[in-house]
Amino acid sequence: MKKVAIIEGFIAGISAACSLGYLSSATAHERIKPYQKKLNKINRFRQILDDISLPRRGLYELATDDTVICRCEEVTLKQLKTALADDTIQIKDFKRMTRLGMGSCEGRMCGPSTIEMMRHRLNASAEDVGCLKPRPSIKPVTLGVLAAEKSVEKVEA
Amino acid sequence: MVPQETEVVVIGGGVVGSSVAYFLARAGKNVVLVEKGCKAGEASGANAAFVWSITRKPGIDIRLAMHSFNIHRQLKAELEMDFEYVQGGGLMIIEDETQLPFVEAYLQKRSEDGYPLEMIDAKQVLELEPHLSKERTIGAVYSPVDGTTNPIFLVIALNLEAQKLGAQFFHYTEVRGIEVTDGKIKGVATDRGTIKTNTVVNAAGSWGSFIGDMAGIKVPVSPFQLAMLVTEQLPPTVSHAIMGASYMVEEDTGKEGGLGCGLVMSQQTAGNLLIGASWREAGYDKRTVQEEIELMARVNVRAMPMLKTVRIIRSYANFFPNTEDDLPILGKVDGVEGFIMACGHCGHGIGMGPGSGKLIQELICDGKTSLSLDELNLSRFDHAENP
Repeated sequence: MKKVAIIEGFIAGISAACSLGYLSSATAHERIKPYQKKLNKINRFRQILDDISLPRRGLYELATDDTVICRCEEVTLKQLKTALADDTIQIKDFKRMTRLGMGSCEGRMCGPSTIEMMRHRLNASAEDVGCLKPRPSIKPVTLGVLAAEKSVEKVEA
Repeated sequence: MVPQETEVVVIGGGVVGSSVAYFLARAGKNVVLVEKGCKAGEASGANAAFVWSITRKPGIDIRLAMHSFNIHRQLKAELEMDFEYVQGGGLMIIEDETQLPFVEAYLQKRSEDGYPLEMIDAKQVLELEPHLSKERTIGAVYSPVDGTTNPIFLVIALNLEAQKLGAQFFHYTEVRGIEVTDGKIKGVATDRGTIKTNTVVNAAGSWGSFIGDMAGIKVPVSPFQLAMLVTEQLPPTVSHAIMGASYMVEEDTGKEGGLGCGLVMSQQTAGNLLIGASWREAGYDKRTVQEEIELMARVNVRAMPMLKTVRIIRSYANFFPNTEDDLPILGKVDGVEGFIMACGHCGHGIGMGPGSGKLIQELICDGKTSLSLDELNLSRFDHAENP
């Protein structure tokens, strides 16, 4: 993931230089090429990982009332079933009731699986259920880091 | 579909609208609440979670706040669901000598009005909140009646109780028009049908001006953004609602697109600290920007150095309904019979909402209120509109 971020950073940098007129589009294109090649290679592998780790429907059938569906806030499947019986359709309403997705993972762990369970149980579309809105910081970060005066660091390729 | 007819339609499902609906249902009125989004989806769901009086100005402002605190306590006893209201006390921290004259002048005015506040020294402050900076803390204004709540749970608790009493709630239902005939309210048109009614409560917060327009009424409420940070869950760290005294001095920061920031800190029952706050004019934009996140981090780490190693897990922002004089608009409207205003709480809606809701119920049911709403009437802006 870190590798991808660095490569994407180089592509973004070259594109920025090009749009500001410091590089011709032909030069920018040439310079981006090797990074794009590396990125494609990683992405192909990532696609395979995504495909094989996607939870299949049957997996959700294994969950029982006591199954914890949000580990940070310890929300159980029973709470979801109760909410669905009370006409909750959107995940943001369920979040407001139970704090699901409001813990340290910010819904990265529980969000996708809860959306799948809600869709499956309600026979609803992705639009009906909605999503948990990601908000900065995307991952936990200390206040000390955020409060520090910025300094520019050189990143080696 | 919405019902065809009801006694009162409340527009807005935040803390104000939910309070109005709850108290009306409790008084035996048929009430329908319509809300275009989810429960506590706007300012009621993203704020400092304070039930706060220290910066409420002498006059109607502090009277409404104190009245509302009684209602918060009443709700805590009445509503089945716990909404985590804790009257742990409030502290307005003085971090700079230059703030002292402003604070002292303010305390003088509050005393003269009959709502005195206590000033405590640094040693006393640090006994109450040991993690505050020993170097920076000069003193504080202390109020034992202030505290914090869980605003989202408060709204849900009000909704559940009101529904038990027969109130009907329609979320994800948008108001499209208001029928007015011969200066009287006749109905509310929504995207899920039209409701015949003689009484409409405009509790639409920052959207209150749009609801006003539908009835031909100019409602001078505009959105003003407030942003906050949420930390990871911590053991008990902060027990008071904390605000910085810079609010006494730099009231105008944040206007004309600039970024204002002052110390705000409290701990929720779940353990997360809610810290902030920054504010700016950003229209109806709910996004937070890196600049304000860093600014809030600096202000809070400076006031409480142990926060350096504490992680934030998210930021949030929302727009609160701002009025020119920092006071809500409550009461009847001249010229449109049956149109009741209950919006414009200027970021004080959580503290003032339940009290406002009770007063609006009294106005609708009895025609008079236990606290006069004259100074909060929409007509106070007339001179500004028609000089």
